[in-house]
Amino acid sequence: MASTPPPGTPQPSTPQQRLAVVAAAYNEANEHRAQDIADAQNDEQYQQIVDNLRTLEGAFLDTAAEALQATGAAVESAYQSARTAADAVQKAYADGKGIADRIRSVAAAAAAVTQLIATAATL
Amino acid sequence: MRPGFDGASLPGSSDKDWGIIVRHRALIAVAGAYALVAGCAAAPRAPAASLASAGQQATSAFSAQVQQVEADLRYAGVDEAFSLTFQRCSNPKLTCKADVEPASLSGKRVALANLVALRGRAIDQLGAAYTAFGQEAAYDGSADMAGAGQAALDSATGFAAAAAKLTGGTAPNPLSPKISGLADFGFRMLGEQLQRKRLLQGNRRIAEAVLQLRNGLADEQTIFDSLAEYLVGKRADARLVLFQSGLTSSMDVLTPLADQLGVTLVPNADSVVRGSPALTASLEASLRASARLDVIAAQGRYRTAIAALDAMLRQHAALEKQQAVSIDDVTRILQQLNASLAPPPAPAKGNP
Repeated sequence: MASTPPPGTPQPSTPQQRLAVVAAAYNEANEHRAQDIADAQNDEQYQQIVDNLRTLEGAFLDTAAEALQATGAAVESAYQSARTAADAVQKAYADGKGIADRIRSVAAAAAAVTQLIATAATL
Repeated sequence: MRPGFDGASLPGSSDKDWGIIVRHRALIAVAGAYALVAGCAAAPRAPAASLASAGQQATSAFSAQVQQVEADLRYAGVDEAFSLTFQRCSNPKLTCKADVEPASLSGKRVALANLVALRGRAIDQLGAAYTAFGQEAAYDGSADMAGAGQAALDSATGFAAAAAKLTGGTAPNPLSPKISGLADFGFRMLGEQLQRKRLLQGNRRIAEAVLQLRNGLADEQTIFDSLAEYLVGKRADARLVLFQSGLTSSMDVLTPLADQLGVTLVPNADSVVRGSPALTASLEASLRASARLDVIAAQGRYRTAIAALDAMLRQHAALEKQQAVSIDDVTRILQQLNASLAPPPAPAKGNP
């Protein structure tokens, strides 16, 4: 049986909460990017600015992917449900239409036999 | 004597007709009995067709939203390379060279785009379910069954006549209009009832899928909010660079601003802006503010698309309860969505 964490224990964050934090950090840094690059005194400083930004951007992309994967099962389930619905509706339609088609094919077969009998009668 | 209740007013009440009924009983019994058992409710083809059409439009609009996010994610590296290289080369203290992000970063973006694509796939699959539903609603099961039934009766009669001729017997009388009418009624009702059942079952299945998808995508709203902000930011940076480099006219920003204020710009407004550092900075600020509006609009579109699914669910419930289906709500929401996707209006008279 799982034990209840003692009061005051921090709860683990959700992927979406983590995404909000990482996105805010990246957006903040990116907002100053143009000015920071304009103020860079040499290539090393420039590279440092860009590397820091790319680290934050990579973290943002990873966290967004993690958040989408966390809810992925629900979307996959919805996909399967939609697919089942589409297949079922299509099959029901085909089966329903098939009843009329089968009656028509029996009628056509009977008409063919009738024609055969009519031909036999003339021999 | 045939069994019956008050058959005097029914077709097929003479002994001759009854004999014909007996000969064709297998065919007529199926259709007639089913019609009697099933009752007389009509297949809700028209409301189902409206619902299918609205569902196709709603899923198509939502899918376009999600596909745009996916496409923007895949393209973001190009915007990034353009704006970053320009910023680097604008600083004379730095070595001017192309700056393209490392493959590891673009790989993360592609991985994210692939996850977004799965959402699009789920929405498209729901659209496919609505297409199948629309095909069913467009099909006139009642008329098709009546036509098939008539063909069967005609061929049975023809067969009996030919057989009689072959054996030297007496050809049966053709079915009287009364008998034909009864058979036609039976087959129509059979078709109607089978289709009604199919439509209501399909309605239920699709509604379940809509609900699941709606809940799944609503849970991801904040993720898409973040993605919208990120992607609009990339585009805004690139647009700003295009403006700063003189590759785009300041009129793209000035014109809507002037229209909003109800003023007419002077003919050489772009040159005036380019000659003034204060005005250039103001325009850049407006570009950033405009990007903020783009973020809000993109986030709003996602919410609107969810609202369209909510409206669809209400109409699925109405069809289930056999109440009148109205797609007005869905149409209104879709119009709102399409309007927010439409390109900005042409400049008003006076502002080039």
